[in-house]
Amino acid sequence: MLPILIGPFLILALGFFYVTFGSALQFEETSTLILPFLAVLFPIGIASGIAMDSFVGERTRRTIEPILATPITERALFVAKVLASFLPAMIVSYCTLIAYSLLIATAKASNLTVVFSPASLSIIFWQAPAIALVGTCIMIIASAKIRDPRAAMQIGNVIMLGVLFGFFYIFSSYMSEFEITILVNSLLTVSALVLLLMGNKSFTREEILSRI
Amino acid sequence: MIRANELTKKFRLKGEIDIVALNSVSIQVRDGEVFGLLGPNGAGKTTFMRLISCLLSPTSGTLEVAGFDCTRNPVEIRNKIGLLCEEPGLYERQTVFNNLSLYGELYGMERDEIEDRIDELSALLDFKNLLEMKSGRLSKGQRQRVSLARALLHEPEILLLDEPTANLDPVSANAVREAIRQIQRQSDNNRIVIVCSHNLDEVEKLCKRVAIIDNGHIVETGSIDNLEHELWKSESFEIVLKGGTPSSDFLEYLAKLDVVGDVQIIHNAREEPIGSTDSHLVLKIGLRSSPRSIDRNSEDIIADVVKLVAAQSNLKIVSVSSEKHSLEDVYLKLMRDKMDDVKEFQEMSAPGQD
Repeated sequence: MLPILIGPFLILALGFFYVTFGSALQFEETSTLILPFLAVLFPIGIASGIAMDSFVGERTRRTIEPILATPITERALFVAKVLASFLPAMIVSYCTLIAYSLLIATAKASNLTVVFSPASLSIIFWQAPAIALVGTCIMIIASAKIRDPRAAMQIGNVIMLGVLFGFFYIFSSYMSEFEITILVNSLLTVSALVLLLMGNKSFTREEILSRI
Repeated sequence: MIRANELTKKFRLKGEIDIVALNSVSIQVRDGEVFGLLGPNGAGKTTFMRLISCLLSPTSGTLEVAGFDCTRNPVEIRNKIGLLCEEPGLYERQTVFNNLSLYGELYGMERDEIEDRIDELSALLDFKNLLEMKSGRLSKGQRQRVSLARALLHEPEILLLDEPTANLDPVSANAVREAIRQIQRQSDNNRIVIVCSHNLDEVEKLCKRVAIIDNGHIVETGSIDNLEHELWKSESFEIVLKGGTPSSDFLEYLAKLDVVGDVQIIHNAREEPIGSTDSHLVLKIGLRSSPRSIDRNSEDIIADVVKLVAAQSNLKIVSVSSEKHSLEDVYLKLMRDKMDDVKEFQEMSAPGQD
């Protein structure tokens, strides 16, 4: 839990430092760079981290078999696992975003409508949950399909890096374009739903136990 | 009742042939029975346990557990089963109480009911003082007792114990065994307990009936006494005598008894001349091949025969010992026989393969 709590505030402090003491960048430009970083990196990082521990960790600690022997349905267990990864990630991300927003609002008189544009708001409230779900589902599928927990972790990390690089590549130049963010958000939402269905399908007692 | 009929379980690994973990296993475990499942590593014991607890579904055959079919009613079966795995599988950052109450909730128990049950089980299994301790700080034996309580929390009709004392020191293992005995004594005697273990002494102490499983097949099933009897055909016992030799009339009389198979004077125990008053000799008496068909156990029969011998005024009984085979003897003999069969088969089929 400690890295999860410390990480956001560390980056927050750095962001605050950057904003307050400035650089060659304009205040709005700086803020619009940090904002997607907070809105996207935290949800995907935290959600996939918890999901990895939740599935692969349960296997390595051998806590999964007694749970599977209870009458709980596979779907209920899957939903519980997804929520256990998704909700803390969103709570930490939104807390950080709120704190960051308060800081930039008080640190310098600025045109906040530039920082909180429709595009950035759609990222915060749409793209962030979608990408957190994508991260969770990728980890669930990876951990369900691969026998060696270490291999599952490595593959999950590689996939996550790919997602992040691709995302930032698109983002960096088109962040302010509302239409493009809507398109990216829609694609991520569809991906999240497809991955949720795939994850649910692969989450069977037999599948999990045959890999222990 | 657990009833498996021609139960088969195959695992398919990508790019490899099917692995047959269980092959046409037919077995019945009656209500109230403490049943042992024995076999070498990879024999199929854990697969069988997982099939009973509906963690796996059979490839073919049928499995009925507590009146429910495992493919049609898995949830009903899981409600009636308590599973103790080889690894305790406790959440180490949670307290013992939280670990147990989580499972109570998963079994749909009410809050008050969970608390009462935890209270009762912690007293029974002697970990009341550990309830508020993080389970990561418990010793292996304590963890195993807590996970036994977890398996019993919802008062299951069937208790599955997979290697309950593996990796435990003798004192902890004994405490867990004693706990299992105590639970069985306290239950209404209708609970089925299946013990899967490599520890043959433990199975012998806990179980009435056993199944020996190897390579996915049931090698033998039966009560330990019956298995011993089938393998060694007859029981025998020895009486060490002092003070002379029994008369031939008396030996003839003994041999003619319904329960006695054969009578032998096998050797002079102290190598003193037979007939001298200080000589010790051993009278080996074999019981008839099916003493279990008679409505008396072999101990009673032996006691009666000893009384007859003692009635001979010239003889003094020094000691009586019956030749008893342990479950380990039974197990080793069965496995050796099986290996001999395999070797014989391989030798027979070898020339054809050339």
